[in-house]
Amino acid sequence: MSLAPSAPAAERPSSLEETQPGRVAPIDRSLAPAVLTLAAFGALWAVVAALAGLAASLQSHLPGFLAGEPLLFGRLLAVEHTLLTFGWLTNAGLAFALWAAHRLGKVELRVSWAPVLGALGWNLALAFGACALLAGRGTGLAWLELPRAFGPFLTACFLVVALWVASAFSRRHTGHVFVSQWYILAAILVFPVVHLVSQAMVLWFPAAGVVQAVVAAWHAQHLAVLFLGSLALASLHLVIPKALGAPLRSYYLAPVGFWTFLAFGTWSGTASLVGSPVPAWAQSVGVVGAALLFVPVLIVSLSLLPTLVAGGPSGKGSAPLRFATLGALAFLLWGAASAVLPFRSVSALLRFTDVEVAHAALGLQGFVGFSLLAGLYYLLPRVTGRAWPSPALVAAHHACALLGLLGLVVTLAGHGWLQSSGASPEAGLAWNAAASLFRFLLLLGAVAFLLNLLLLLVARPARRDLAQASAR
Amino acid sequence: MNNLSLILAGVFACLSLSWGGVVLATQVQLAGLAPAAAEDGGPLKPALAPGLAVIGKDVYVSQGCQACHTQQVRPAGQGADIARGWGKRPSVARDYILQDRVLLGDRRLGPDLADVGTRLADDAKLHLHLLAPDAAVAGSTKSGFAHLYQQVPAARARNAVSLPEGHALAPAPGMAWVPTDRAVALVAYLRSLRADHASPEAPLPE
Amino acid sequence: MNDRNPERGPRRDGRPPRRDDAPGSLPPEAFSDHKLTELHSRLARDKEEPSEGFSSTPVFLVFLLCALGFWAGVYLTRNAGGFSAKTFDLNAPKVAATAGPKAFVADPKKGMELFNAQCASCHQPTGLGLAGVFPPLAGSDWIDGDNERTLKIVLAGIAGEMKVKGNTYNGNMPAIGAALKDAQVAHIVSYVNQAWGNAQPAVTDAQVAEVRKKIGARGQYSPKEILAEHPLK
Ligand code: HEC
Ligand code: HEC
Repeated sequence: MSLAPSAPAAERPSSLEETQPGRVAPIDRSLAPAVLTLAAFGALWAVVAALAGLAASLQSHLPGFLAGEPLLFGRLLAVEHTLLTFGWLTNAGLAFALWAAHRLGKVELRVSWAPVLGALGWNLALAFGACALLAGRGTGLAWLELPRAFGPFLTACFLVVALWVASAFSRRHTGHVFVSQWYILAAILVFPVVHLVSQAMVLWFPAAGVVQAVVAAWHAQHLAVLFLGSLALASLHLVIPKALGAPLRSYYLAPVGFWTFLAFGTWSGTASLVGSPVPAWAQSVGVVGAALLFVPVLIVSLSLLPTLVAGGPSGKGSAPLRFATLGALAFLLWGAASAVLPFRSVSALLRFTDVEVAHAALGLQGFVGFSLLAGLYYLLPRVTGRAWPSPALVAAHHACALLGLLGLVVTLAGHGWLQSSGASPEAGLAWNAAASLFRFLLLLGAVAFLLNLLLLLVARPARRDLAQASAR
Repeated sequence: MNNLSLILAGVFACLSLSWGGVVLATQVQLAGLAPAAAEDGGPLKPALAPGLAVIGKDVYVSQGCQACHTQQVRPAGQGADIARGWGKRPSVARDYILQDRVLLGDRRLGPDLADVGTRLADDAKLHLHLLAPDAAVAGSTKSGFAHLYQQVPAARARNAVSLPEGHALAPAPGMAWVPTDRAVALVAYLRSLRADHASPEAPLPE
Repeated sequence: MNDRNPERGPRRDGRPPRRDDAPGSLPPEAFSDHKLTELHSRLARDKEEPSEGFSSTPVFLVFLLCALGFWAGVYLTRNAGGFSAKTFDLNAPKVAATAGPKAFVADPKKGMELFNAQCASCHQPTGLGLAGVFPPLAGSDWIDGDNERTLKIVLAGIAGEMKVKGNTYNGNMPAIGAALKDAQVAHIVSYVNQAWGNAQPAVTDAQVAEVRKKIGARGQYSPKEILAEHPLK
């Protein structure tokens, strides 16, 4: 806030908001159908994914639990991963992107039934997709699990929502484009391009041999980091200053962070293939990309974390800020792990073990999940014009998510360490059982969020004054 | 950073660069690989898998085996794969060129299977492992795939899978476990997973 | 970066933002969208003209990026295996370059696999051929220890009327061996010489090379021509 005095008074003509005090409320109201559809489906898939993850985890230490078709371990994992990434995180990310693009562009959503239709199509296809996976129709490839016929339709539905996000950009009123908008723009471009190209090269016109594995690794990294990660960063960059009421520290570094994030992230895909039968140079390129990715992680963290710290206790009680803090911390930890794990000496020990699963959970459920939750906790009350109905459920969600994820990451990493020492699978049973416990906590958290969201949706219609309160 | 078209162009340029530099470049380098003889003029490898194994691969995928098993042997300096007896030599790109879907896998809750056809060259052992893992490996933590087997009267049973005395899955009296078509194909696929030949890029150790 | 925008100072009342999850009421936004973008627009510009409280782009960052770029280059040149499509294992001993020529030993297993791939479509895996179309190799009177004849047939092919084990054939065998390596031909012919009860000496890759050189680039033999060079025993 040290900037305040330096702002020359002459440069301060009355803002749009001062002349038209009610301007934000109509934007929020116009977004309600699309954003609420996306968020509700997202919350639902988060619960289903957590259930599938829990069931698979239980099977890993209770052989024979729910054994037999269709609930096989491999199928449950495919369902969990698909619904976590394309179900929960993508829905939440798109909800946030729609809202942020319109809010920051100061435009209302037009033809709001179109993105609702896109969202319905996306989620209906996912429901069918999950059934197909349980029926054993999956492809067996991470991030490309769904049968290939789903790809084009899902991408088309995504494009409908993405086009409405993009239209907010093209109609925007403001001059300065805020950092969140850059990340959103990057995300909505990355997904369709990378997903279509990779689907084509792996499922429709399979490339020769291990080139498929290279494409799949490139695809997975882009979707995880440059698509979901960008949406998460967009959320953190917006929620933290807005909820704190303080500008971001070191904002002048934001463009450096953004471009290094893209430029290094895009080369880091093959880091997951170290030791695999792909040419050594391709592996090394991935290692370098993943290591350099720590630069933007550091730059962004050096902006977000000090802002949070300086924000001090004022934000303590607010749900968005609490989740944003978790998201920002998970981002830093995940980034550090990503930079270290691919090096050949480390990978020799830890590759294929549950340390990698822990790393993925930290990135997807921690960094991306918590950051987008921060966004949803911030925007949903404004879109509905009502506060969260149950603070107790918010607190429960926060506690379960924090404890559950922390415990899960620690137990998975512990189990992975055990695996790397060549211990027999029996020795890991206790770790697996502990992991199940923490997965149960994560499930409880997801249920709490879904419940609270449903309560918010069915709560009394907004009173006018509340809607206006959100406008100020 | 206020010009959105420039940002979009920049993002697209980043994507295209890495696609060209990693995906396209490996494609160009590896697309020409064909079955080859190792140095001293041996037979061409890899060979096409028999038809039953091709069907078995679909069973493998649909049963989710790849969630726990990889199919890649890492070089000696990069993990203990060879020391654990999962293969005599590291896997190389040429080993996979005839596969229409490459299942390298990314998680190992069980052993690597790239060379399981040489390690367990015995249908009966493989069937036992799938029907009742705990009968094949003491203290196994793996769920069985009993749904790939059926009980028929012992008199009519061909290729019956025999379980040790008193096993929990012991068939009803007078009955015997026999593999279904899916199990037969799956085992044919497992038998076809072999990496016991030298490759120009990876000679067999003396 | 855009100076024409209306600017708005930060909140002057200094109230801390209220809790978002307080039941029943929705607090006002601590930071309106407009203020957010305007303030950050100014902060972005501070890069060029640093003002109190905000340093310019740290020199250390520039250095860090340069150093990392240098490291990346070094790492890549050291760990890329010469960007070769054939290097998968950076620690692999470079055997191929140092190992000297090895003495050839015919391998019946390789011989069988190669035979099944190259010859069995006509002569059958059993070596019995097909009556009237493809002559047998098992027990054939043409497999009589004169390896040069067999090698010539395999390397150059044979077409025309011939008698094998008393039956007449008039077929056409292409120059299969022309596309195979010397060692591969040697494995096959050694296998044919010793499988199915045949008992003739094995051949080496050097012998194959010699015959290949002798016949040069030529068309198929006719049985008459080859029997003139190598009469049956
Ligand atoms: C839950 C993880 C899991 C799944 C799913 C799984 N396996 Fe296994 N597999 C293991 C473990 C663990 C072992 C080690 C032996 C044991 O504990 O039973 C193993 C061992 C094996 C072995 C013996 C390998 C050796 O070298 O001894 C074979 C063969 C095998 N699995 C095949 C399969 C097939 C085929 C499928 C799919 C139908 C499958 N597995 C699914 C975990 C799994
Ligand atoms: C396209 C079918 C075909 C293939 C493949 C083929 N042959 Fe023949 N082969 C023939 C025919 C036909 C004859 C008889 C030619 C004639 O009637 O003049 C023959 C004759 C021979 C003979 C002499 C007659 C005898 O039975 O001893 C030998 C030796 C022989 N083949 C070896 C081989 C070997 C070794 C291979 C594999 C490298 C091979 N052939 C592959 C069709 C084939």
